[in-house]
Amino acid sequence: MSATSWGERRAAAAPGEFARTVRGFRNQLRVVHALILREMQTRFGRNQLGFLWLFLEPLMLAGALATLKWAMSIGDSIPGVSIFVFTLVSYLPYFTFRAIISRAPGTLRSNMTLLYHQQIKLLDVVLARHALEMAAVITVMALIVIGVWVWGDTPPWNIPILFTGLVLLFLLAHGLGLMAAAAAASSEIAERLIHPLIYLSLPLSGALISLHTLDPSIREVLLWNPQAHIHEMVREGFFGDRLPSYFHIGYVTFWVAVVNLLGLAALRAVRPRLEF
Amino acid sequence: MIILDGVSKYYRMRGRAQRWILRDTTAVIRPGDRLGILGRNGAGKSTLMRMLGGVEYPNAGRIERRMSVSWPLAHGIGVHGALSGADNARFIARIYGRPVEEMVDAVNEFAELGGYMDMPVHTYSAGMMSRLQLGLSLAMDFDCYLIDEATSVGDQRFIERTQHRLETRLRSRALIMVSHHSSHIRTFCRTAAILHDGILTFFEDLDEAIATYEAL
Repeated sequence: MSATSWGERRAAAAPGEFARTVRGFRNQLRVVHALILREMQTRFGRNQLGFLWLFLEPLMLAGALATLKWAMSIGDSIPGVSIFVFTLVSYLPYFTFRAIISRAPGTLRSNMTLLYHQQIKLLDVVLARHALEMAAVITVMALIVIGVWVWGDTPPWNIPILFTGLVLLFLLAHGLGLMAAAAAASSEIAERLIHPLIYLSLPLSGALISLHTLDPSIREVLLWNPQAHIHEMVREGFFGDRLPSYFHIGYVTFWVAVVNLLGLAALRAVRPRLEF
Repeated sequence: MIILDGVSKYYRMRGRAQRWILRDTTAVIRPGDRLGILGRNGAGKSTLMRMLGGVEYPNAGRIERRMSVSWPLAHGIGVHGALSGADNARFIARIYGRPVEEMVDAVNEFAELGGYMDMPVHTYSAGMMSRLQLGLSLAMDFDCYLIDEATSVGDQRFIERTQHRLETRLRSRALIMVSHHSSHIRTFCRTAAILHDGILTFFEDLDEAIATYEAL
């Protein structure tokens, strides 16, 4: 028990469990907020580009790939859908998804000393980092939407769908990131396996290809993967009728819940075994 | 009160060997105790401090904290090297829900870092680092402070300031301290315990404890 939580525990004992939960939630919000500020400060501190890099990195990677595809005209051309924009909006969420999961073990390891403060839980450290990544990708996505709107003269089809897709993607990546971090903390072999697994999962992710252009039997297989639904959602939000899409929000939500509960449980299981 | 109830802790070494830190230890630390912990290098003093602070978990048994306990103060721990002393103070104020600028002033007042308060912590000397860390911890209001060698690199003036603070404003607070300097143990503590081969032996008399430790 640290100073505040002890005081608050005494105060909250009377009003009952609900008040305690609310207080705990407020504490956690405060801690995550402080961690986000700290993360931003340290990124600014290392070099001037530090913070900008958060936005530039995904934008540059997605942009480079999109230019490549456009220049070489790879992929089936879909009427009314630019390959450049298609690749940009497909690869950017995928890039964030991959980055969150593959960086989660490192985030945990490099921030172990934060756990000296009892206020800070393992989850808060990961949550703060992921929230920043999420803010970055939404900002970059907004820039792309505006850019395509202004220069390409094509407004996005459905912004709420686009936004929901990105949030679901973040939540899915967050849950998987928690599992990856817990796995890496308990076994070195598991840590080594994370990267290859992420790369091998690219063809199954449905990220870089529209499910509409696939053979229905292959499409059925890919639709087992909630990630494929999410990429379809993002593209639906962007292209709408110009590109038929296949997704089911309920199915994705179910998997988001499963993955997050498993992630939390894994983190909780691994916490007592951490050595400092 | 901190209650250790049948606490065991070991680290796995190469092969099947185990290094014992604590074996089935039961002990109580009461409010206002001033306890020095003595032990050879590698005996597990820092691990014990981390367990008392709730950072690391025992393999068996239970540690119950019935009073607020500070984070274990050890060199370079609990602060971020790339951030300034002031920013570190702000961060700690935020996570513990304290007024931010008040905390910065309190830390600076105690640690006397002057202009270094706005410099990245990795530019600090060892002595400045320990002043900042003690400043951060003592600015907070804990029932029990855990100090792991953090006083070891402080100069005489700073030791006196720390002692003064612990004798006045923090008079009723408990203190658990690890130090290789017998003189610091004598300055800050009233009782002591020796950690050796996983056994924690308590001594009511400081001189007896120090003599036993030196004979190990």
